[in-house]
Amino acid sequence: MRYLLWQLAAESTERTPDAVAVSDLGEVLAYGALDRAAASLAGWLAMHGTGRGERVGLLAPKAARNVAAMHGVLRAGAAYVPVDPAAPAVRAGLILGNAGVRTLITTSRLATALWDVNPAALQTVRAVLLVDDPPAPPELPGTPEVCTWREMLTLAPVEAVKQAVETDPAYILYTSGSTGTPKGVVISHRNALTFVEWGIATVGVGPSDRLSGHAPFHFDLSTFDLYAALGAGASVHLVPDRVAPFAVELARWIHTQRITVWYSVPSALIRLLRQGQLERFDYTALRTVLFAGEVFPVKYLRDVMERFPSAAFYNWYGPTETNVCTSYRVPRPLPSGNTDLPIGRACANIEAFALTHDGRVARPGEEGELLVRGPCVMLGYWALPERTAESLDQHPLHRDYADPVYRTGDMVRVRDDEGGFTFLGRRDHMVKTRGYRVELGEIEHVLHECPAVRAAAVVALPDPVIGARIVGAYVPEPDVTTSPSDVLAFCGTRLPRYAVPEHLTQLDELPATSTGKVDRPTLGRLLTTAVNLQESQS
Amino acid sequence: MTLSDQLLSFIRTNLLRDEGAQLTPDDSLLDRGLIDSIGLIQIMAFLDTQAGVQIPDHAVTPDNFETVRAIVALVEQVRSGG
Repeated sequence: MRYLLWQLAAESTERTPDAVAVSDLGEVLAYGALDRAAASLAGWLAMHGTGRGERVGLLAPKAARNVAAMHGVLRAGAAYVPVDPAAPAVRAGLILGNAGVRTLITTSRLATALWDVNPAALQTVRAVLLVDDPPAPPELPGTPEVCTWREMLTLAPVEAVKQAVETDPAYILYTSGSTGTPKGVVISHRNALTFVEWGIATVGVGPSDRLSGHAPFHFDLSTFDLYAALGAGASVHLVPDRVAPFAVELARWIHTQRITVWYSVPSALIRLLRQGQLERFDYTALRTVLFAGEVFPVKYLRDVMERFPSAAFYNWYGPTETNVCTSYRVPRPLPSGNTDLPIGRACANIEAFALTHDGRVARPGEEGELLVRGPCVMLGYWALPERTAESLDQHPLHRDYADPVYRTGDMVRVRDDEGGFTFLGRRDHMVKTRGYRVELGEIEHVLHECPAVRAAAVVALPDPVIGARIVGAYVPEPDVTTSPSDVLAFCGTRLPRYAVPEHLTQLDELPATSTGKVDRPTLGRLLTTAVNLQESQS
Repeated sequence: MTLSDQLLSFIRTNLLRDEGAQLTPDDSLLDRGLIDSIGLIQIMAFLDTQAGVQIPDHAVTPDNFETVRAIVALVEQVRSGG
């Protein structure tokens, strides 16, 4: 019986120890090697008292050995916290501090940047594992133990912790928080297994499959790539950071790696379509294309499906808090004039239903907020009991026993066909850009932290390709000389790049409603004009 | 200011995330994670507006964007019709 996430890889290791499990540009790990590294890493964690009830920070690039590291953390009974290695060090420190990690897996460069910026946030860190094997590890003030990957591999392997239970945290994914601080979504072993086992069965992943690893580890899409591959005895091929931004290189990489299952946000596929020169390469091996995270405009989807003629396409939907919870298999050919792609129906062992504004379960044709129930639903937000209670509501129809449902905040229309639901939009100020969740409140919070800024507001302008373009305006403090590029540079030290506004306008005052609130519709029109003007000049 | 200096200044302001971090024309932008898909779009837009150069799709490769020096060489090559 599988009830812990590491059992997926452990079972495949027993069956096929010599088969490739994970590869990147420089390193290929077979199942046996992955398992041995993980067992030694669990030993290193145990040496530092890290086991059940602990979190381990993983601030490291998308590399094969870091997949072994995740596996090792799980074997030790702890949970890992993957942090974007491209995020500003201030933000990474904030997340690691919030999660209270006492052991950290990272590289020399990232560790140095982290300790340079905010050593106070890292006071709890007792041991650091450097996966880049530096000849001379950097000095990290206040940190007792630094170990390299090479040294770690010499440690005696330890048995996996078996007295864990399926509702123990497996990993914590941090997403944008409206109050200005990222919030950690705590995912249990059961949460992840519910999705991964359904995904393996639905896609029919088998030992001969070669999965892409396009999403970064801190993004929930990577859960499928890594664990569906490991669970099926297949291999996952991590898209190198050197390749991913370059459309033609990426198009060639998918071909030369003979990828059979691709999973990404739609905007990555649209970029391949527009700039990847896909007609130059052979994609007959590619049998499945999965996409999630944002709406895929049908006009582009149609063209992508033509370029990948052997592939079955699935539209997956689900916030980080539930993982993928609905799925829609895209018909081939796509019916003409089909403009709203359904998000599909609930996956196995999951209930998804829409609640109307007056508290009824929505019928076909009606709109409502999508609620999700079942073992896919997160344990909660790390150390945020009130925020958790708001999101995990008592099931409105099951009042006689505890039955939490997750309120997605997503508005949907119930369809009267096989498509299940149609996504309509958000109830709040959360937007999606390139598949990433961004709370406009978090960006405004950072803008207000900038010493030169007196007032600021941001809006999301709809964009057919990337979902939303984030643009903003600010009012400077009196007698302060500043410029939009200064303010943007400040944002860049606090926010992930996708959340930094692509345009800022300086104003004498923000447009206001009669009640004194920021008039967002007017600001949106004003900024649309400003952005168009700027683009027509260039 | 040379294009190299302009580009360094642009990258320091827009792509470097940590205050006080250093950057030279020969530092690998790729190894330091400065060029992701958004960073690449920003640099291409900068080259378009500041240098008046549009890089053709086939020249958008990791080698051509490895360092500031490589980008400057690419711009000169595109300008000379190469």
